Amino acid sequence: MTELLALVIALAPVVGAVAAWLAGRRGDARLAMLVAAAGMLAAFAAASGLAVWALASGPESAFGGLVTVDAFSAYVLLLVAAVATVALAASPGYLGHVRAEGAMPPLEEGTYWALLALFSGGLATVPLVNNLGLIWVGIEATTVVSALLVGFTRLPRAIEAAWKYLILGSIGIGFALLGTMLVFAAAGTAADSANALAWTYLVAHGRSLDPGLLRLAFVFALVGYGTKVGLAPFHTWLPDAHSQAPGPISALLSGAGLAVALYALARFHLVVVAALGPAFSSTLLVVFGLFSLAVALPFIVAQGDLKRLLAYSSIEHLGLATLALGFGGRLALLGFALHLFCHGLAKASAFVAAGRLVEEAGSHRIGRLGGSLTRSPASGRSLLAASLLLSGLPPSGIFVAELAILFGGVAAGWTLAAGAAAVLLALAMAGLLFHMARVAVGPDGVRGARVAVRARTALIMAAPLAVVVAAGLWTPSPVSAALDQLVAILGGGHG
Amino acid sequence: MTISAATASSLIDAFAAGIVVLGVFIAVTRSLGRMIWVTALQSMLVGASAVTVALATGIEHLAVGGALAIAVKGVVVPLVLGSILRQSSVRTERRPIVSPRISFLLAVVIVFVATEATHDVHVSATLGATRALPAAISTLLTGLLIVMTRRKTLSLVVGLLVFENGIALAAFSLVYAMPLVVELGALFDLLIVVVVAWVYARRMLDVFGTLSTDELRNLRG
Repeated sequence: MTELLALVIALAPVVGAVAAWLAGRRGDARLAMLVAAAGMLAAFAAASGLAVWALASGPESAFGGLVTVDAFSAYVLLLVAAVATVALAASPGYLGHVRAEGAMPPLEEGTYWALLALFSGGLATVPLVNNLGLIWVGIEATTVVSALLVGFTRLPRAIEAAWKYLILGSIGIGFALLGTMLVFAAAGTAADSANALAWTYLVAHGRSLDPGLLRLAFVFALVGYGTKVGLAPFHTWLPDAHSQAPGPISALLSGAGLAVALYALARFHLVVVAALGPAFSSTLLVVFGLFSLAVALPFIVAQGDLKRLLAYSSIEHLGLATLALGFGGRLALLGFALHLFCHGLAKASAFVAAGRLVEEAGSHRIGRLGGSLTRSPASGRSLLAASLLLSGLPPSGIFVAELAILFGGVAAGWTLAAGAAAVLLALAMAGLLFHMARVAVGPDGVRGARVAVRARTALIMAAPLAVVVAAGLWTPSPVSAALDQLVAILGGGHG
Repeated sequence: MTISAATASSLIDAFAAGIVVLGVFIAVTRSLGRMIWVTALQSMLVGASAVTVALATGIEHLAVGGALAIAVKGVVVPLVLGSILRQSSVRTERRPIVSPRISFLLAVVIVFVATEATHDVHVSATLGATRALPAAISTLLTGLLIVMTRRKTLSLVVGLLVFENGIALAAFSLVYAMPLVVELGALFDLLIVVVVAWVYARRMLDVFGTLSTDELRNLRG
């Protein structure tokens, strides 16, 4: 059964992508959408099923251990499935807008659907594989596919953003490959080559790894996957790519893409913790997490572009998640788990809404988008609500998570870092809300007819936010049992 | 056909020296055409070291990886890049961010630093080819140097290839028992990166009418 589900997750999007591309070539955009959506939904259903099963009955493995789903993988699978469903649901609206502008032939729509299926399928495959080398292959593949999506509009700025993303992403990911190879070398000749990259093997045999090589490996992995996570100072591609991509793609990049990269980095971290204890890699994670918070802040406060504002907010939030991982300890790790999921959903909703506002107004400038609550009520309200949640105001899962991370940091002995993070978060909240209030009710926006949207569209933006609010109020007992499993893994025996 | 470990390690050391010298040359030259073909030559040397390791150790899939590296990075990629070059009016890197003389100086510094820094690192599973690791690190850094100091789209792709050659040298000659699926995945991904870069280079030609990244200065802050 696990074999079957894993195959569906990895292959259904590929089949859907090929079919969508062929349908696009035949000029049938609607068929392209249907086959791509079918492939993606099959994969998301399989991913959710496999994740729930693994959480209920313990780690699942298949294909001789090549596919292994523990609570951490299951968590990321659920996150990817949820965020990618939002991106999928928002895509017809985006393409409809592009079509109304008269810009896109059906061939392009087929390509869009094919790339979207490949991108989300790749994201869902990474947490399945129990092999650091194949995790690398998956992340590199999603980088390339998403680079094509970033430049999809072919506007000069989008091409510039995609180009930077491709070059910087490839260099970053090259460092990650070097880190992966050094882990392999650190496992030495004791392991046979099949399982020397399996994270289950590496965590279980941490003591037999070469410590010097492993330290070097982690530094390279941190630079490499850190580039993909958007950790400062390797983040410079992120605001460009996430602001120039189509709205649904920004949602998927920010909500799920960054989390999957952080997942890869976390697997390295867990191997290093098993081998050397928590001191080395945790300290690095805290330093880079805090630095990302600090670097994102001025760009949030002084931002003039709505989508770049959200992109810098992603750098801030992923910095916080990295910080939480570095803090360790039960409380901070619970915060990490809650935070990454809630951020993914809230940011997906925010990017979909922001994308709609930007396309309606024909401008990214915050100064031109004022008064969105009256001009485009559904999108305007969703963006405002998402911003309130993202800034960390209660009631929301993000509020609870941020408190847990900060108190967890103090409890784990990182008092100074937690204090600095609290100050940075408060300032970033003020900056984000200032700009978002201007977008909501500011007097200086473009004049335009009131934009009505279908109920379905409003639901796509509102539903993820409802989940985030609910997560701050109520934890059902199966969820808390799942969170316990996750924290036990992330704690690496030191939690 | 097999060769002894001693022969293999001296062969690999010779290839490694060649790879480093070619890397320095790529960092210094301003002709885009020359950059592309010298990089192809460098990639072939990387593939040849992989084949050498395969012959000495009997790990067959490494020979496959080496042969593929020669075919893909030594032949296919340069042909693709050459076709872009023919469509564009740009032939030389007219104003690199630092002058060739300084590039040369920096490249030499990189070689020395890489050699010094890897002096104490010992990787158990090697054939005793002592120059491979410093050569890999300095090639990788040379690639970064090229990416950071050039303005033309094609130069950046070449820098990326040099960077990847450094990684591949490390992969093939140091941790040569990596599972085949990982090696193939890495090679395949590289090919896709170059294809995507080609797609974007063509779009840049269409939209900006040039292959210079000077046009790419709109996204700030």
